[in-house]
Amino acid sequence: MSRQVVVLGVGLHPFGRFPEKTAQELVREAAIMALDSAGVAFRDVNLVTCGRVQPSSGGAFEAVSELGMTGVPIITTDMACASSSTAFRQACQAIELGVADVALVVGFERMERGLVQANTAGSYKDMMGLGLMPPRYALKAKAYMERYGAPAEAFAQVSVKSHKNATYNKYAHHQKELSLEEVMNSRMVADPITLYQCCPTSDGAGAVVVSAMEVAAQYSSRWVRVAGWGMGTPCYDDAGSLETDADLTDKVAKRIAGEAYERAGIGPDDVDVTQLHDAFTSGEIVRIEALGLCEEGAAADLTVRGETGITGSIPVNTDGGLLSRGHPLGATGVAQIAEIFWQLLGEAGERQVEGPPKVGLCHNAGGGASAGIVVHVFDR
Amino acid sequence: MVTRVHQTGPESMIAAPYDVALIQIDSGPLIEAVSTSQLDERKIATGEPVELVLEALGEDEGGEEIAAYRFKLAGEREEKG
Repeated sequence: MSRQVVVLGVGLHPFGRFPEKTAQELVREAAIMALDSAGVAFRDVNLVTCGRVQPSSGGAFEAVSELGMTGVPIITTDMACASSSTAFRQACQAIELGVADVALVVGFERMERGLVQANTAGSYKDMMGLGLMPPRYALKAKAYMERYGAPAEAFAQVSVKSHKNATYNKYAHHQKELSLEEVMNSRMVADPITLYQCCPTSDGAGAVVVSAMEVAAQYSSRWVRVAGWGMGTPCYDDAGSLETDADLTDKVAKRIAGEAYERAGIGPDDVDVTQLHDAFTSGEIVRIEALGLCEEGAAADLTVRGETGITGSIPVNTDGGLLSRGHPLGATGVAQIAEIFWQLLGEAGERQVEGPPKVGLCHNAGGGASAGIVVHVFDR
Repeated sequence: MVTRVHQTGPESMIAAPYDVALIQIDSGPLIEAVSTSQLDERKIATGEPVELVLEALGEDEGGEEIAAYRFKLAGEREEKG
């Protein structure tokens, strides 16, 4: 019988541009905040898992060493944009199996400006101008528009909502409201995705402390439970046809979210608040549907009507999401978990969803078409 | 569906703007491909038949030709069943 796991505490270093700071400084701030929030001392941590993407061999050792040298094992994971969600899953699994009682999960990234190179450097796709993220998400949008007659403005509205939410989040990269006109009239990147419908590259770090439920009371009286999870990559059966699928990754999300719901013993109707992978605006629209939060074809209209906002019927990306909170690749997964932790405990301040919500979901995707998808369901 | 790409990566040998579409090959697989010329989107609907074109993009450092697959609208429009 595997053990129950709870999130005991979370911490973030603000996301944005911090060229003067080292990765260690970013991680230290986030990790100390998470440990304090959990009531856990670093010497009590049995395992550290770390998500980060941009290569610097051994970077995690250095980043974590400032917290203390207690002999704790450190595991680093690269799953592209889903790195720290994967690191979180590794920590949960170690606790479920009794290998660790208390684990610290950290995610961090320091990034350059401009397009993220998703391909292997020098690949034929790079030379052919293919495999870039904006066109891939643009094709999702085009397919959606063609299938359901949705207007381009529906995608822009995702960004308007996201930027508004982020004005309530002091950790967000962009804390400035944008109008629909400003989003629509920003520079075209890949039709219909304009610049303000693309997430920024960011610097940042996040940390989460997890423990076995049976030891949680030693540290804290406030925690949320990891109720279910799903993780995986595409399989051939996920591939569809041009008429039905613009990109198979969202079929994968549907399958993997289904696994998470099954493990949690709930359905999508039970989810009160969601953080999902909105690297570009079309990602949010199609993934709301892939996660089963509404019927297929309904997400664009719900977005336009404000139903995905903090006070709407399906609040999504309450902290601003990747689009406005920012997307320091390795830190995004833990930032999503941090937001769900705060939301479920009623500690989200001005962006608090009424209730407070009882069930939260995180969806994090890494690596384009050959994507790794990680979904977690939390409750309290 | 087609998207016009206005910003590309530093290693791309095809200058932006260019058009990218998802192409379904007769035998099943979906691939992303760049068109040989800018397309008039109004004329492109899902299901439009296209043809494979092999095109030289340039040469590598050793003088070897670098060729790529691209697509163009099929010469004669076929009715799709």
